[in-house]
Amino acid sequence: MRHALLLLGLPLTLLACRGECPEGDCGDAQPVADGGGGEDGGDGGSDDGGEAGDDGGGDEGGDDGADLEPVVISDITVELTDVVTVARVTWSTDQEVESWVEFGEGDGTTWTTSVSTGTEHEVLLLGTPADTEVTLRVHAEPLEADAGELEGSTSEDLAYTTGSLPSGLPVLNVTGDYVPEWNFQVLPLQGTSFSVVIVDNQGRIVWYDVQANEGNLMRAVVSSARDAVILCHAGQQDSLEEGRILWLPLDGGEVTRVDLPYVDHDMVELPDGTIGAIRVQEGTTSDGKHTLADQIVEMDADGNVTVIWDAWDHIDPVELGVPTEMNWTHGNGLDYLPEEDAYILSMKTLGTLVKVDRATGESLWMLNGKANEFEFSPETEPVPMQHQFEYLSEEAILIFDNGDPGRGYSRAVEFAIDQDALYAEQTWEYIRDPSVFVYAKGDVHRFSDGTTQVVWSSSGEMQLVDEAGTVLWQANSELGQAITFVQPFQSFYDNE
Amino acid sequence: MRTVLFLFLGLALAGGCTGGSDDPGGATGGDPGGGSGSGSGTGDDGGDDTGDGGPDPSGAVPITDARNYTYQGSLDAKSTAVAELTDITVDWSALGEDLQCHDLDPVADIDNTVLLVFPYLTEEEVEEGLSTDSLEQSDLGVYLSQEPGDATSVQLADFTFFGTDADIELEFEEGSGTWLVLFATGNTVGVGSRMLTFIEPSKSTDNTLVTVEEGCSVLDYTVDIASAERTPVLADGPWLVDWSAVTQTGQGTELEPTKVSSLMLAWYSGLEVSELEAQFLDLELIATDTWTLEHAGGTSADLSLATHVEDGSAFTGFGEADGTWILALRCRTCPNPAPLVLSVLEP
Repeated sequence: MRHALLLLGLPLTLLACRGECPEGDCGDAQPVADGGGGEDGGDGGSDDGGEAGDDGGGDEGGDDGADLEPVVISDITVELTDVVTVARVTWSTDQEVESWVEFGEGDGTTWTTSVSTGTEHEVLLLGTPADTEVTLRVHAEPLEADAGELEGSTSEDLAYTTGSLPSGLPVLNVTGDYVPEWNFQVLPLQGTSFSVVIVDNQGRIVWYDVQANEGNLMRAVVSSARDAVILCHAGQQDSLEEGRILWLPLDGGEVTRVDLPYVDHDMVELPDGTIGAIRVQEGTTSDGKHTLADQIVEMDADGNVTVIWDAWDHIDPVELGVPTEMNWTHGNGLDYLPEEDAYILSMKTLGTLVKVDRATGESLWMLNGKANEFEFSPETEPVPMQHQFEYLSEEAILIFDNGDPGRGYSRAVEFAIDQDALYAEQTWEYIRDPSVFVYAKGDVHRFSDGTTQVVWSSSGEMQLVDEAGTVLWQANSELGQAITFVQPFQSFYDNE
Repeated sequence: MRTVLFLFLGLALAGGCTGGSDDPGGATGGDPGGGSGSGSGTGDDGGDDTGDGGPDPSGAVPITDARNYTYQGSLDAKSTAVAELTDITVDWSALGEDLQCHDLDPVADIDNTVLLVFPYLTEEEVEEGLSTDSLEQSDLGVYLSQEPGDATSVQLADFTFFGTDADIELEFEEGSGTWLVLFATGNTVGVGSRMLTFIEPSKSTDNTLVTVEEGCSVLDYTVDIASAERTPVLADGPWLVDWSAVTQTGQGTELEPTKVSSLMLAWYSGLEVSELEAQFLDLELIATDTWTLEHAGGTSADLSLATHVEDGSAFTGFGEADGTWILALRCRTCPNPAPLVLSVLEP
């Protein structure tokens, strides 16, 4: 169902609509009477530049603006999509131009959409919470070839209110005054609610999708094209054949599903849209046991799968003395390193991270655990079991170390690594106070301000800590709600 | 206001309940002299009950904090000492009544078992947290589940994290915190619990079996419906209920709008508010007529869209005068099934 269509027949020069809607056509979207884009142009002529010559073209056109023809912006419509925190804006321009929307809470200057080129334009307004008034304005700039003839324009300020979240979505309780470096975060949630949500750094849900209560919601990421959330929906351990990758459009549109049987735990999207994933594969050990281990596979948009690396070809579990009754690798984390065109795969049963050359499928090194090739400094505390990790640089890696029941606590740990000498040294760790043993999942992220986010997954808690281990920001889920692997990101309109 | 034995986490539609007349646990003696003692749904005790006048002619039905009921609950669950670091068995084959004292079939009604470990909380603190809905996931060290199928027992090693083995029996050690097992109808984690029991890992016992038999007398609660202001409504509509002004649930916690999953409108012919308080556990069972409305989101709803639970007919208006009308806002995903908001309607 489409939500309220908020039609705004607003040619830029039709300022009569200020404060009232012609024949009620504005619906719930209203021009903002005292917004920053007021006709007095408090912040420059760009706000009402459509009145050709009235304000001399303002900032957009320069001193000779009277000679330039202003771009006319018209027929602005705003409608909430099926995801009621997301609005779709369409508009027309009388010239082929570059045009975009500036929007947000308050004065509406928080976000800027991607640029639309042409005369008919459409963008989604993303990143705003529920039940919130959002202010927006449309900007239009002439193409470079027309710069000497056309003058840029900006619509007046408009406003709409986002819808109410559907019943049943979880609530995050955020504490701490620190403003995290990230703006948004994708959270797959398992428990009372099986859902994928995107929250802002205040813990407010700005996007959501409720999934059926089945399988495992391990990993979700915003696509690099910023048009969908990609969800790795693995089956249960005894029904992995039901695994699939889902593309959930950000406007709540039709979901694209590509089956990827035996996908497990984690996936990544490569820059070209290819999906890299962990897949479970049957095989026979050197002592004749028929069992399971993991591969790194890639899947294209048509569902064609290519094996990049296969544990069966690189590791002998019998030689390593690894239990083989079940999946003897139990891959549980996968990252792609675009600068090196390499993968790193975390294998829980082995306690090992393997770095794989994507082009050749060669194992470049194996760090930690039963297949370890590194020498560790004497002070380094071993990692009994790990989940997610972050390759910080060629010299450092951050790991979520679950620990084991004997040790009784989990931690985030950073190793300095020499990949040529195969030498590793623990340089930092963070242990929650009081400590917690995360028996399933766990995630870590380092930000450029030096803070580290630790996701205590089964405890439903995310903490942002500084180098000294001071908790700067924290989010907690309600009882019954676990958080799996998360993706922080900065913008819905820029994937840098 | 009445104090009666409370059910925790109930699916009151389970049927077979004996109603309030048995007063299980004998807890009804609390505060009998409170305002509820003579509470009536139709205003005969109304002095301080009614709101500020009659219904809004526009049909608006504003629910406010002053019009919402209140309750407090407390748990007292059984605790059994069992051998530590052992794959012990929890058996509920003899469980015949749930926390609401409703009949329970240990095979057909238990779809899911959940194991919770609170490393830093005592049993009393867990009971308090559950009673007040104040626990967070981070209070837990372990949250595992298992679907028993037709079985009526579970072993520690059977519990998994959404299908991933946890080997939790290796952590079942004395001093490792408070261990709680929930038995639930339905498979939504944390919802629909019919019974709960503590298991206590101990070095000083060889016992490896926990039996779960008695559902009654685990929970007490105090409910006060009568002291709240009545909500005036038009007899013939329209009825646009708006709870945007409600800030707190009946338990006193912050009302999150997304928690409201459905509305229940119920008519109790010939019953006064005090009688509803006394039979609070069975409000869904003793209603003369019940209409429900699934709620998609937001803080308002049109009661004309509510449908009768038996014949599916739409709600058309408030008829009889001798009895009590209540409107309840319910939460499908909350551990505690008590309505978030409950108000007596006064046509």
